[in-house]
Amino acid sequence: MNRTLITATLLFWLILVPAAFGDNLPSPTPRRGGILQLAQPSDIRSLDPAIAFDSFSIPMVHLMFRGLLDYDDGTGLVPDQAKDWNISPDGKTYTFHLRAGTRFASGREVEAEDYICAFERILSPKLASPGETYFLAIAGAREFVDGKAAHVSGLRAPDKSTLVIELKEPQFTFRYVLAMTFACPVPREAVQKYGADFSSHLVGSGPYRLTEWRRGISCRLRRNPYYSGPDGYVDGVDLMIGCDDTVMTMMLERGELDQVPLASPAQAARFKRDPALRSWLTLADAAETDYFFMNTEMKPFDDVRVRQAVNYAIDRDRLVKLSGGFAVVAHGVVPPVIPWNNPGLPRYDFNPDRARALLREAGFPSGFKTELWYSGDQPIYARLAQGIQQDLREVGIEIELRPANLTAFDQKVTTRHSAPCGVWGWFQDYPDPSDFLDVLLNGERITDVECNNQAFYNNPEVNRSLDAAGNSLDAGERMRLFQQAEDQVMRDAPWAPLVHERIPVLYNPRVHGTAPHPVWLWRYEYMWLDP
Amino acid sequence: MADTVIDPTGVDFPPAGSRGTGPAVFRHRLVRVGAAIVILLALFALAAPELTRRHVLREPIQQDPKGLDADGLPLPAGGGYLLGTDNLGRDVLARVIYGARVSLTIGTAAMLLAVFLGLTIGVTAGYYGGKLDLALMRFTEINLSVPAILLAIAFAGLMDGRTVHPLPAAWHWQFLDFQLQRGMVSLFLIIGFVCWPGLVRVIRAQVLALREREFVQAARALGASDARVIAGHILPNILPTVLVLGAVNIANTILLEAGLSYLGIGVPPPAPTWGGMISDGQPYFITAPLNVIAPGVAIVLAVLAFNLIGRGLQETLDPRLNR
Repeated sequence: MNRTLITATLLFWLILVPAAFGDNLPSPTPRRGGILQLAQPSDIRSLDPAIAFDSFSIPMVHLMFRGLLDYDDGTGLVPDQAKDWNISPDGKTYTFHLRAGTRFASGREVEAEDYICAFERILSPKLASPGETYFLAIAGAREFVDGKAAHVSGLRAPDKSTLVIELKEPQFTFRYVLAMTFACPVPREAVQKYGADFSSHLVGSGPYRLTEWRRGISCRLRRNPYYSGPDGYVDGVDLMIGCDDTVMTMMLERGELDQVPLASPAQAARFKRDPALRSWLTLADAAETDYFFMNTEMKPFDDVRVRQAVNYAIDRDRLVKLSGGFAVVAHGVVPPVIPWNNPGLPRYDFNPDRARALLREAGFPSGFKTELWYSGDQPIYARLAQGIQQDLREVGIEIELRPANLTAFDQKVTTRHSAPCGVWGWFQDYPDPSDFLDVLLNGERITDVECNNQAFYNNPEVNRSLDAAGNSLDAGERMRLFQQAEDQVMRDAPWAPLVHERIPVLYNPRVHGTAPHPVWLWRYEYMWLDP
Repeated sequence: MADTVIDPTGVDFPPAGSRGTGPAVFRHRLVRVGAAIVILLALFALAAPELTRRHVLREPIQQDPKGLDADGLPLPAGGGYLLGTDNLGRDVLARVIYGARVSLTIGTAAMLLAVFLGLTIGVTAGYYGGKLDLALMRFTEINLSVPAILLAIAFAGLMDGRTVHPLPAAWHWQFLDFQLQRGMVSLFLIIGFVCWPGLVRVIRAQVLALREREFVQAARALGASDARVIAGHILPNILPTVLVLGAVNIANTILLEAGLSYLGIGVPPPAPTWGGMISDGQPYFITAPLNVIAPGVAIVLAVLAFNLIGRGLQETLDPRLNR
């Protein structure tokens, strides 16, 4: 072998092969150590598991607090700080045996009473936790909330390591509630001591503990020395607060940051297009649906033909392009990553002629005028709203855009007879179709204010399917009922589903273990760093 | 030219400084440059719909499917688009030109409102003096102490589509209800309402000085009413000041409009606004810099032009500066 050939071979193996495989090379063994460098545009709202309920806070909370159940790499539930769990055949009683040796960051062992303390804390009206409604399924929770009982009768701790939860009625989805960060135990002596101020004296049983939080500046987490579960790889997490997207991306490229979560389409597209940077980009398929809702109680959307016409008039492929390609077309209500599959779903493919015909049939040969509400705080909704506006103009529907801040938008669209239509996106709370169909489209849940069913859609047949699915404990039967409900919803078309977002996340190549998670989106404790 | 000519009769309009200044003003170099830019912008703004009708200019709100590349990124300048496209595939050039319509209209209307309020309050305070003066000036100073942009943001925050019932609901006089809606009208009202306090102090000071002048005293002695003295003697003499203030103020109102649009609380989309374009284009600064630079240059040009006019007017009309 002459020298040139040797050099060429060497070059091939040293440069081309790793380049070709990139991140797909079988990863070397995960390494412990190092500090993960993160940044966020604005401060974490809260790290208190009873309060935190947004996509920036929850991944951090999940590092400090752990509970009974967690997800495996997919959407399957596994016991986390419980040794085992058991649901009674009637679906009403959940029994957990806690894993021995699980300790809070204060060093004390976690006891069943700490779970009861955490649940009652969420239900206490003084705290106004956004998680309250999830726990109302527990027997006696309503009485506790109304102040008629000092404790929740459905929560019992026969001994230190046994927790029994009794529900009012069987509810399949309650198991998912127990995997939410709301359900993590808190040390009851700390809650007694600090009361509402517990939020600033946080102690949890997760792999990391909070060592420093300078409000609006930075936040540091380090290992919890008492943690006994499967440990995270990195020694800690440093979070910088208050950088915008462009600055974060520049810092990532300089190696000062390890992750840019929720990168803007503009930045992400630059990484997608640059061959040297392409491997830095990860797309997390969000269990989420962006949709255009039409208020079925308001003219002209009270006519099903008008709603179907809108569905035919929207060019969803173009909307995907408008979102920078970081989305997939949505044909139904439930996102496919749930996991969910409904092959029989009626589909509305882009067909403006069909839309015009339907409008003529409905008595709007020259279209109509209406106003579309959306939250101007999220750029994606502005793009989708403007895209829809143009598509609907093509079939004669003139739309005036009404951007509002999140609070004003929320108040407007959740009030009856108020907003004729709008754009919104729903992120799953737990991986179950009921979190979309039942929460957003069950007519029995319609209220005059603060109504999640923004379309005010009420079809008794759908309600029956959803109620039956809610009470059923048979997974196959539930799926069938949910499919039936989704089919009928799409025939009645209270929504025009638009897209499911694919969230661009940028990682520095020194970070490994970045595979997106269907529920948590990313798990910092699974990430490890090159030396 | 003198700022005031004392008219012995005090009844006729005094040949105020503003009278012979028309041509003189336009002989000033700064004014000519500023006016040229303003006229150019205004011509574009006025002609924009006609240019679109003749297919010289694209629709500013039309999202062209071919206006985005395969990755959904804006197209660079050149090709079919002189200044490239924006994040939704719309023509940046068309949006900048149509943006002038929004900016100049709101800027001018807000300036007129601010000048009207400033004049009313300033002249009243200066002319009548006493406790009225004290009250009006303290009120003005309170307003002056709050930065205009913050006050405007607060007002704009109220425009969230809520319906206002000025009368108690039990009276059933719904025809007086109105909706707080974001748009051109509400925006010019907001900007006009936050820009007047700066004008009041200058106008009041001028009126205070004028009030003691002989021709005003003479007019009063001859029995002219307050209205007549103000309309006939005070206003014509503060006109030069008002012109200067107006020109400089229009630069402020345009800037404020751009600022509010940048913050996403201006005229709602898809209407093209310079501030909104910068805000939308900012993430694309590396890949499509014209999305930010083009509206930015437009804002700079407009603000500069009105400042030049203001400065030129001041130099021409204020004799103390000439000396």
